[in-house]
Amino acid sequence: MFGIPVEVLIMQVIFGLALGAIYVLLASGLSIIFGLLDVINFAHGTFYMLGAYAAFMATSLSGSFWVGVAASVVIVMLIGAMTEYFLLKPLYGEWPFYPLLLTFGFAVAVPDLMKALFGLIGKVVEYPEGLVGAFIWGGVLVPKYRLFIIIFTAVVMIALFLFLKRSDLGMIIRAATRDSLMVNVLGVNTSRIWTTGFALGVGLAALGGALHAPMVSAIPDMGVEMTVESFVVVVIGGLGSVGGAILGGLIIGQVVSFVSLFAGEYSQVAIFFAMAVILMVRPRGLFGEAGRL
Amino acid sequence: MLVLENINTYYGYSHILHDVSLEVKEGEILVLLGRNGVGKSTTLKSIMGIQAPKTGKITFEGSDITGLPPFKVARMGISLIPEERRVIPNLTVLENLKLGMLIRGKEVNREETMENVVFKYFPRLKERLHQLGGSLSGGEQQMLTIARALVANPRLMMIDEPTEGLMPLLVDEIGEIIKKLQADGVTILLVEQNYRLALGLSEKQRAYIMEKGHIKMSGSPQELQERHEEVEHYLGVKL
Ligand SMILES: Nc1ncnc2c1ncn2[C@@H]1O[C@H](COP(=O)(O)OP(=O)(O)OP(=O)(O)O)[C@@H](O)[C@H]1O
Ligand SMILES: [Mg+2]
Repeated sequence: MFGIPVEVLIMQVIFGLALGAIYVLLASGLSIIFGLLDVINFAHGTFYMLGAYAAFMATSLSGSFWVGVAASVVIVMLIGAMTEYFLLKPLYGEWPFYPLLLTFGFAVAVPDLMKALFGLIGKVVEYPEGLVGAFIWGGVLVPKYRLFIIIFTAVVMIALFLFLKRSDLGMIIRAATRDSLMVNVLGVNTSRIWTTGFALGVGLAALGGALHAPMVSAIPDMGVEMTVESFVVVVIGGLGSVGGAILGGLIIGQVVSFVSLFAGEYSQVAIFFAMAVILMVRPRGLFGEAGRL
Repeated sequence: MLVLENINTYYGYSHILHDVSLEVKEGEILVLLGRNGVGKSTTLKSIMGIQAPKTGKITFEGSDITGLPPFKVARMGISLIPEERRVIPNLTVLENLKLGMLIRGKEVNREETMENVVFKYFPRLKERLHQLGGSLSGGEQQMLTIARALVANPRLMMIDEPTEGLMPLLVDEIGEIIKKLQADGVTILLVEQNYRLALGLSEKQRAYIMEKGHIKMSGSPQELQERHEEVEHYLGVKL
């Protein structure tokens, strides 16, 4: 195709899947938060950035990438829970715009704080042992770490689905997404469910940041574009739908990967172009409304 | 069992309930009657803590529950079946019922409750267990909301216009279910526009009549019958 060997195309698909996996992690978290709290989390990329930094610190302290990733998710979930509890909770029911403004402010202030603390130079997170480099498979160069991200994300998404579909807490989250007041009337402290849902959502963003860190290294502004991109993914998939976030993430991953092959500088434009095309066909996104959680 | 003393409830600046006082006695069916928009649902919402009263006091079995959030009121043993029914549409029937049982924590045996409570009252739900709540008919949704409230094992059930929009056969069925609930020891606070049904449920029942946010009169069905002209004036219908 266009004189490009098929091996290169396959490799590009793998690159796109790996990038798509990061989008999937972020967008599914963003979608859960939006579904539950009706808040568009403008700080989502900020939590992704915090995830990358937390992974950097925990990896340097412990010497293990895996401990670093796990610690990063836990730390950012705690930060998320505190953010929701102390900063967002007092703003619900006031003006719907306030929680949104707060996340916006968070997205401006926290990266500046990180610049003051860590400087502007990226913090490098080493690839985990055994996942460095690539192997050749049927003539295709397969980068080991990217393959790992794809598989790992698939496992995380399956676990997330099982959690949402099979566990009591998952059931409560799905119910509260639709009718939080009725769930409260049935005896559930929904306020706590919101905190949990927010923590879960930003935890997924942090996992995305931690996994992405070895490929991009941690810098304070890394979350800015990521917020926009995951927002696009969520819109494509349909607001509030985790299934849609997965499909949207995979699509955008491929779009970016292939456009960068031909014309790297247009990959951002291509994302919005893809969004416009999909919204023209399906104005509520691929899984809009009907597919909500 | 439940006592409201001079409660005043507002939506923003509009004053809806004016010094509403009423009492629900253990074991009875208390019916709240009144034309559209007089504040019947608001009274139930005030009790449940959805729209807390600004002044006044609500006591349930001796404890003050004024202004408690709904989930705490529910944990005291009060359940509300709202007039919009509010089956969770994206959950299956079984999940809706599980949601109702959550309040009882680990003590409850879910399978046993399904057999002894749900299927006993609502055999029809058995075939629908794995269907989404949103796909049920209006009548089935009403059955499900009553079942969902019932599995929480409440001592007081507040039911808001359960027969609204249902066909006559189902209306009678709902009447039978309410009688059965009372016989099983559940106290009931019922809002209903179908006066014939609402006032002929049981020996042990009383009614309050509301107008524009005030309680105007109260009594047993016989007493209301004796003062039927007054009642008809408030309700705008022939008894
Ligand atoms: N959420 C709300 N915000 C503002 N006003 C409300 C709200 N809900 C109800 N009201 C007003 O409060 C008054 C009482 O309403 P309520 O729902 O309690 O009446 P009701 O007796 O239950 O009537 P119906 O028989 O139609 O259900 C009405 O005038 C209604 O317009
Ligand atoms: Mg009403």
